Amino acid sequence: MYRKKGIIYGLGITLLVIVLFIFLPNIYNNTSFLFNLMLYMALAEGLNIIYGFTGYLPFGYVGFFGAGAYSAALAILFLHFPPLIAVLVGGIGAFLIGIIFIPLLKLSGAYFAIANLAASQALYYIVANPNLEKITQGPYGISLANIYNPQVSYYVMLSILAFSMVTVIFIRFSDYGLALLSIKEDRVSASLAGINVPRERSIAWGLSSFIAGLSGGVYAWYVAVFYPTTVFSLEISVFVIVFVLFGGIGTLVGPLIGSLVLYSFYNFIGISTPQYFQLSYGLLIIIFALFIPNGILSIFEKRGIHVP
Amino acid sequence: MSRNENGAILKIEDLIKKFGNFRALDGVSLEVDKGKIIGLAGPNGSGKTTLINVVSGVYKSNDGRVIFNGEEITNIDSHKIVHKGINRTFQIPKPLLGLTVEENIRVAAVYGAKDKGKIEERIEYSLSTIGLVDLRFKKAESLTSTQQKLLDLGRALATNPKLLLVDEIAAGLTQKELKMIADMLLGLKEKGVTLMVVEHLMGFLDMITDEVVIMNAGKEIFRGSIREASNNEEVIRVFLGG
Repeated sequence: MYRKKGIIYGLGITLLVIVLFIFLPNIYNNTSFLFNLMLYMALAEGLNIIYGFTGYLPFGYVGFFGAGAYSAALAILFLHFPPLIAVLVGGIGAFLIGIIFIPLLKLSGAYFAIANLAASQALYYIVANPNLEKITQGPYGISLANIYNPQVSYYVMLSILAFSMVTVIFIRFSDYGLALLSIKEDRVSASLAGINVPRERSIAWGLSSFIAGLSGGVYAWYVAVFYPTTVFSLEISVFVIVFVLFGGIGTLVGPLIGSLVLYSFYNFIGISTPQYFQLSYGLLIIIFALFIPNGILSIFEKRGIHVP
Repeated sequence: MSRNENGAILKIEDLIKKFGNFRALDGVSLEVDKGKIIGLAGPNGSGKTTLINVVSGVYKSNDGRVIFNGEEITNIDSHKIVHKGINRTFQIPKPLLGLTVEENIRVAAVYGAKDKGKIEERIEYSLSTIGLVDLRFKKAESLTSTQQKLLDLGRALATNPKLLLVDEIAAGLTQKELKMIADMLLGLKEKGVTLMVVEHLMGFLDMITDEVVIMNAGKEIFRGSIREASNNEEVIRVFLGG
């Protein structure tokens, strides 16, 4: 009963988000802000799957984003795929990288976070290697100018956001989500509940990397010109992690709220006066880590208000 | 004495588990008969908990074999052992603290049992057996340590075990709670579950077991009734004290 209600509320919220982002460009003309907001929301939901439910903190999450951007770009440049298919290739590319990184899941806590960060940096150095100029253009970046289409890619981004939300809804309100939470709580107890821990966490990891890859693919399409430093920037990982922490891990709405509030805040003062932004960001992280470690939504949970 | 009237459900053969140079299990062999409650006692560090850890797949052994229902299950993964019909509780209970009581049981009922039918029924059965029906929506972290022990047991029951390994469940319980848990374990035996109960409290073992095995230094040193154990010279020397 509780689950059915959760799924219905969740799908309702997804619909609301879709409608909002369809209409917002009519009244707010900074569509690049709206696109990036959707992008961060999708990435936050994607990271939520592996961090919020399974407890693995992927500091190198941006690696999947970059892998997706480059997979999509290469599919367009060399295979002449239509952009829409290329975005899917971006998702698959990141997913395959995710499979290669599966052994990292044997680590836990800070060890996993650091190893994952190193792995994403390794990806960056491979892509940015000048000796690979013929394939990746090395450090000189990618130009997809002839398929530039900010209108269509905006709606594709919206679809990816919706997909990430629906994925989180079905994880949150299913036995599978319960299995992932069990793994997060205690791996030994989880396996004694009969859960195949390596398999279930790998599925979550795969879904999480796929969503980041799709987001990277559509980002490549939307901006059309980018560099390895743009799509492998550690700042993206940090932003997404902070957004999820701020909103509330393991929920549908938390990552959305975190992205909305903090990314808007970033746009408000982060670009014009970055020094104050970094100061207030740092303070926020400290306050949340100390007093509200489970995010904004936990304040409601404590008062008995269940948020999907 | 006709020990094997029903046959052994679990056979442990020459099991060795080393931690560095220390042999926590030093070639232990024992059999657990189907439908019985066997007690496992011995001084601290004699390898009782290690034995449970190896049988349940939490530790991998260095040598020897574990045979369950005629099938070798040595060193296979815990979740597969659970699916074969073995489960256990922990000396220090390890429920999933952030989940509710019912969720703890549900996840085990869904993922732990081989036959996927009757999940709701199994959840209700486990909850009522451990007597936590009224606390089903409480988070496991808010339970008392005795309730957490019961929840640990409930998680194991939800997976439909044929063999249940119980690790020092009686430690720290009141007399009343001891009686309740003893009745609960005897009730499981009635339902056909075989139990191996690790315990320090000989009085508790006397209430429920058909037979006890005494371990010392990673080996079995005695097997028989508690009365016989209390007259056995070696048992008195290493465990009961003279």
